[in-house]
Amino acid sequence: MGVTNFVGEAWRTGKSIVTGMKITFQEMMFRPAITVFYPDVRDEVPPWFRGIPVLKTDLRTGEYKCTSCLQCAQACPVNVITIEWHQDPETKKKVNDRFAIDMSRCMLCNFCVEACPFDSLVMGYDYELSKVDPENLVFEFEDLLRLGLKYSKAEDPGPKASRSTTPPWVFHELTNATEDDIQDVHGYLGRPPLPKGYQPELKPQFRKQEEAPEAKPAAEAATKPEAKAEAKPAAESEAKAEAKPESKPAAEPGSTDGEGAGQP
Amino acid sequence: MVAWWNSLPPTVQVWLGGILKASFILVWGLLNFAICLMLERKLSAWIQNRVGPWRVGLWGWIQPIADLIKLWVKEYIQPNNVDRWLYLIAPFIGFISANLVWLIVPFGDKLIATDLEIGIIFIAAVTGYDVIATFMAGWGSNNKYSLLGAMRGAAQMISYEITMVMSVIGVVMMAGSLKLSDIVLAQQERGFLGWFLFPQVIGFIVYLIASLAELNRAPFDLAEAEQELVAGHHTEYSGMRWAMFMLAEYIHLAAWSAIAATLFLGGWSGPTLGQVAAGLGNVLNGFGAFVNPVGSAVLNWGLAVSGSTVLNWIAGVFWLVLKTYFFVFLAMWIRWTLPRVRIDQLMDLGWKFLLPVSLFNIFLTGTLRYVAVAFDGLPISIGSFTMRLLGWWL
Amino acid sequence: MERTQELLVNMGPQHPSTHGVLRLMVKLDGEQVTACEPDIGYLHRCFEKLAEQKTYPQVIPYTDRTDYLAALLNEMCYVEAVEKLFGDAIVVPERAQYIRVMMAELQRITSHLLALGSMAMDLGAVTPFLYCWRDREKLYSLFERITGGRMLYNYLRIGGLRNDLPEGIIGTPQDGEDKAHKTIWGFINYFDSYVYPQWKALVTGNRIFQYRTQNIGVLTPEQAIAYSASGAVLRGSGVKWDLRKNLPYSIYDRLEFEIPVGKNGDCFDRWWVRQEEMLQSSHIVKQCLAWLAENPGPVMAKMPRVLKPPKGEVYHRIEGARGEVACYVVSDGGTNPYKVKWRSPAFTHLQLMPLLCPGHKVADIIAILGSIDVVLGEVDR
Repeated sequence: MGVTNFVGEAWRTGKSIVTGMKITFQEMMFRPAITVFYPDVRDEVPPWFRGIPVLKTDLRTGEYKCTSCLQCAQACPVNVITIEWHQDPETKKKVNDRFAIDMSRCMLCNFCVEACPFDSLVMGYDYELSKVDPENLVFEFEDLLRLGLKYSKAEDPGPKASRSTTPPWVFHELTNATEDDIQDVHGYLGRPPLPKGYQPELKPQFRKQEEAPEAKPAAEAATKPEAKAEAKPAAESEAKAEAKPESKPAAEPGSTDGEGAGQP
Repeated sequence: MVAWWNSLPPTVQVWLGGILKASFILVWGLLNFAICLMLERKLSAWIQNRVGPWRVGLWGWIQPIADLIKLWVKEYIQPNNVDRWLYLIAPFIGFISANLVWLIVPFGDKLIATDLEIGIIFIAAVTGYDVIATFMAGWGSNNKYSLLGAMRGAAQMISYEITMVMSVIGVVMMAGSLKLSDIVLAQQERGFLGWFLFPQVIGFIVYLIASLAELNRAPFDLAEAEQELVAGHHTEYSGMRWAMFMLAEYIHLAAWSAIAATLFLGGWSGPTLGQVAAGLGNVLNGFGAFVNPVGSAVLNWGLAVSGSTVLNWIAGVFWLVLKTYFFVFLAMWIRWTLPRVRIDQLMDLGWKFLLPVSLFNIFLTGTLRYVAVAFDGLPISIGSFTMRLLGWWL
Repeated sequence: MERTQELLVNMGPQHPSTHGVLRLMVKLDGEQVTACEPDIGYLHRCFEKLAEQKTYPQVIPYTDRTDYLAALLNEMCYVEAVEKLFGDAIVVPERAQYIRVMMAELQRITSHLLALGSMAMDLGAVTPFLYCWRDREKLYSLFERITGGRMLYNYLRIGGLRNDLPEGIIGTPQDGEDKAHKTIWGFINYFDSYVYPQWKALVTGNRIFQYRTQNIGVLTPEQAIAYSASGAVLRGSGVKWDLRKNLPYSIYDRLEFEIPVGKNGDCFDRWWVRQEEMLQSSHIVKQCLAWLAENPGPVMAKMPRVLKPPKGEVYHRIEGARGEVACYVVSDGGTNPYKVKWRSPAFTHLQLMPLLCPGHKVADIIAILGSIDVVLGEVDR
C-alpha cells in the first residue's frame, strides 16, 4: 500500500540517520582528538625510519669512512649524489674533494645506503629540512658528517655483511659524539691535518668501562648482529638488541632537525 | 529614566526607539554569528577527532575575530562583465533578511523588538529576500557554476517555505494566535510537558527538516555544494562581500533556531532566578518539615526577587539562548553526519513527503481539538476520557 | 523567441572533488548531463621512458609512484614480473612471499579506505573522510616501522624483500586499539571490531547515501567486460572475477578468502564490494600473520650483484587495489629493461565516464567518478 510504503520508508530513513548521528555523537564526546601538536610535540620516530642519508664517522679515528668508491652515486636512481676526488700522490689513496647530496631531489629510497660497501652512509632520523633558498638544500660533506655523528660507531671500517635480516643501519645506541670528535685526518673540515704516523686511540668517552682502550670486543658485539645473515637461533639475540632502539629515539626529540646543516 | 523617556515627543520616541532596537539587533546578530562560527568549527573538529582552531586566543576561541580581520583587509577580486548592481547588492540583501527575523523573537516578557500581530507570517515573507539574494548573486556573477548553484538554491528555498509555514500552523492552532509573544505565554501556562514540542512532534520534525533546507545547510546545501560547484552562488565573491554571505548564513541559523525555540520549546519561559532561589529555599527547609534560617533566608529572598522585571528578563534571555543553541548544536551535528541529497530528491522530499505530512499534522491537531470539545458533556468512559486528555494536551 | 542552449562546464583540473588533476568536460542540459569527456595528462611523469634508463632494481621506487595510494601492490607487480623473467633461477623464499602478500593486503585496506572516504566526501559527508585518515595514519605508522617509509616504500626487491619484519610488529591476537599503530594484530582487531562496523553504520546504511548511489551509473556485466573493467568495478556488476582466485600468483592459492560480488552494477554495489573486500583482506592478513609467527626464515634469495635477466618478455598481472595492474617487461639481456609498459586499471576505467554519465544529473557525475575510483598517478604515469 502506498501509505505503508511511505511510512516504512520514512521510518527506515529516520532510523539510519539516527544511527549515524549516534556514531558522530560518540566520536565527539568520548573519543579523544588525535591531533599531534606539532611543533610543540613531535611524534616519535621508529627505529627504521628513513630520513635523509648522512655520512658516518669512525669514532675510533675520527675519520670519515667514505673512500670515494662511487657506488652510491651509481646506485642512486635520481642521481643526486655528486662526488669529486683526487688521488693523493704520496699514499696513492683516493682523497675526497666533494661529497654533496641534493636533498631537494633525494627520494629517500635508501639504495645508496645499501650499495655502500664501507658502511659509510646511513639514513638518519632527520626530516625537517625547510630552507629559504633551494640551493641550501644541497648538503655538503661537512653537513652530512655533522648530521651523521649520532649514528656513528666505534668500529673498523670493513665490508659490511649484506642481506642480513635486520637492516644494517639499525642504531643500537645513538651516540652523543660532537663535532670535535671528527678528527678530519685529511684536513677537509678546515682543521690542521694530523701528523703522519699518528696512531689514533679511542677517546675516553667511547671506551666501555672495564674494556681496553681499543674496545675491540665492544666493536665486535656491535658488528655481530650484522654478520649473522640468516641464522634462526640468533633471531632471539637480535631481538633483544633491536628492542633498544625503540626507546632511544624517544629520548632525542630535538635531533630530527636538519636545520643545523648549512645555512637556513 | 522612564520619566525622561515619557517626556519625549512620540515621533522622537518611535525613531529613537527604532534606532536603538535596530542597533541592538545588529549587534546581537553579530555576536551570535561569532559564537555560531566558533561552535561550528569546534564541533566539526570534535566530531572528526581533531581540535579545530587552537592557537588564536585561549584554545582558539577568538578565531572569528581573526577571520573577520582577515576578510576585512582582503582584496576584492571582481570578475569582468558582472552585472554591477546585482553583484554588489546581493550579499547585503541576504544579510538584511537574516537580521529581520530577529525583530520578532521575544527575549522576555514584553522584551521584543516589534510585537507584530502577524508573527509567523512575517518570517515567511522575509525569507523571500533570501531567495532574491541567492538568485541575484548567481546571475550577477557571470559564471556558469554560480548560475547552477543559484537556480538550485532558489528552487529549494521556495519549495520549503510553504512546508515550513504549514508545519507551524499546528502550533498556531494550539496557541490561538499568530503573535509570537502569545505563543510563548501559551506554553508558559502549560508548563514543561505542555511545550509544543511534545504534542506537535510531527510538526517539529517537519519544521526541523524544512528549516535546514531553507537555510541551505547540509544535508541540503546544494546551492553551495563544495565538491561539485566549488562554492555555488558565492563563488565569485571575496573578502568582506563573501563574509556577508557567511554572516547571513549564520545569523539566519541562529534566528531560525531562536524561532524554533520560541515555537516549540517555550521560548524564554523557564524558572527565573527568584523561582530557583525560592525552590532551593523550599528544599533546604525540607518543604516545611525542618525550617531553618538559611533555607528561610533563601526562600524569602527568592520570593522578593521574583517580581523584579530586570532579573526576569535576564533569566528569560538565558533560557532563550540555551534553547537556541540546542537547536544550533542539533543543526551542526546533522550537518557533519549526513551526505547531501540530490536536487530532484530534495524536491521530492519537500513536495511529496513533507508537505503531505504537515497537512496531516494540521488535520490531526484540528480533529483532536474538535473531538475533545465535542466530548465535553458526555458520560465518562475510557474512550471519552482519553479523548479529553488528548484534547486537553492538544 | 527564446531558445535553450547546452551548457559546457569544465570540471577541473583544479577541483575539490576530482581524485587528482583530472579535467572533465561536461555538457549540461539544465541539470541533466548529455555528454562527459575526461581529459588527462596533467600528471604525466614519463615513467615508462625513465624505466628504460634505470637498472632493474632502480625502477622499483618509480613503480611506487604510479598508484601512490597502494604503493606496494605496484612494486609487487613489477618485481614478480622480473622474477618471472629470471624463471627458475630465482626461488623467492616463502617467508618473503607471505610478507609480500600480507603487506599487499594491508595496502588494499589502505587504498579502499581512501576510496570510500573520498567518495563519501564527494557526496557531502565530510566526517567519514576524516575517519578514513585516522585509520590510515595507523597503517602508515605500521608501514613506517616495517619499511621506513610511510606512503612510498621501496621495500620489495627482485628476489625477496629489503628486510624482515621488526621484532614485535606482529603482536598477539589479543592486541587492541591502543596497539593499533604498533602491531599488525592490534590494527586488524581494531579494524574488525571498530572501523568496519562504523563504516557500515555511518555511511553504507545511511538512507540518504543509498538514495544518492543506488541505480546510478549502472554498468551491465556485458558492458563491463567489453570495456575491460576489472577489480571492484567488474565485481560490482556481478562478474565473479578476481585475479587472486582465477589466476593465482604468489601464494594466494594457499589462502582462504571470498570474493564479494555485487548485483546491480550501480555505484552502491561498487562501494559495497570495496567495503567487503576490506574485510576479506583482513581475513587474509590474519592467516598470513598466523603463518609468519610460526615460520621464521630468510627473506631474500641469493642474487647476483648486477641483475641481468635473460632475454625475453613477460606480462604479469596482479589484482591491484583498483583493478588489474599489469606490467609488460621486455628484457634484452642488459642491466636496464628494454621496455616497461604499465597497464593501469584507472586509465581503463576512465573510459567508462562517457558511457555512464549521460542521463544523470550533475551530482551523479561525482558519485560515478568516486565509485570508479581513479588515481591520476596511475592514469597518467
